[in-house]
Amino acid sequence: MKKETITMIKLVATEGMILTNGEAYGKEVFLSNTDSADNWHEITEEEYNAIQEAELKEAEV
Amino acid sequence: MSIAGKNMTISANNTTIAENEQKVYEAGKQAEYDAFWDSYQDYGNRDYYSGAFGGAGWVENIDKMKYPIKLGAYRACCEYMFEYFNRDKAGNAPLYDMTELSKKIDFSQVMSANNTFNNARIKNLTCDFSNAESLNSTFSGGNGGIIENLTLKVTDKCKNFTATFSYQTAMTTIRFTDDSIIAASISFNHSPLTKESITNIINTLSSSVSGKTATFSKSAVDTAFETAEGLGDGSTSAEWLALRATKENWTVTLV
Repeated sequence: MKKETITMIKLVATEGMILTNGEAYGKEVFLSNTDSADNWHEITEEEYNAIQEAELKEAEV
Repeated sequence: MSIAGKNMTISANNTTIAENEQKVYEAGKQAEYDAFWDSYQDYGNRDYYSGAFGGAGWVENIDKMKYPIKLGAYRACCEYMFEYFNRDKAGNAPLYDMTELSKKIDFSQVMSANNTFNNARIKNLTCDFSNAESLNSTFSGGNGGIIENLTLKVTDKCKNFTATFSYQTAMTTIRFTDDSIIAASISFNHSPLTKESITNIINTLSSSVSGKTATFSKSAVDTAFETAEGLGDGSTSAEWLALRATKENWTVTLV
């Protein structure tokens, strides 16, 4: 049997905020082994919803 | 000839005329069918179907399609092909079962399938996108579109999953074939996927790429992996964390 300990970094957004790296979004972000918390910042849920609506309109064009 | 004999002859003639009328009618119908589909499908040679079956009006007739479809090995040949398919004005038509139609349409050569099923209302769809490089908004909903029970083949050729499944708020079941590879960032942020579907997606993520993200609905993961019914604690469960850990090279987000 092989036993490994994996370190996983999980970012959790502040209440009412969403984490983003500019492309993806999350309330919780489980970083890959090459990703860094420095690549992520928070936006408000309102900003996130506006981005989603813009994406929907773009798909409708 | 007796009167009775004459009556018999007239009666027999009337029967023959009626039979011929039916034959003529059937022949006319067949000729009309052939003329339409031979023209619309270029005697089976058509390989460009962009926008071909969009809207609500095709539902009654598409299962009568004369020729199987082999889409071309170039861009745009199936973009918008089924956009708003089966989407009536009210937006609540029962989902059209694509089981049989899936067998008649070969997507394996297409290079892009952007918006192909955008806002369609369908179920039991199977697509082989072996050569697709872009699936931008291919299955997006948001305006009455629902897709349920989707089976897909994708490969590492696909570099664009932008909004592929966006606003699929009712999609619970998706399965990537065992030989599929997801090698570009992908999101299922609006879909209440089952545990089986989420597990299948994680297993399909490439083990060799870096800098990519896979996004799921947090409530979907919380429900699918919950440790006891109703707890909604799936995203902190050992089962979810163990699954997520199998693809350390991916950033996984829950939104």
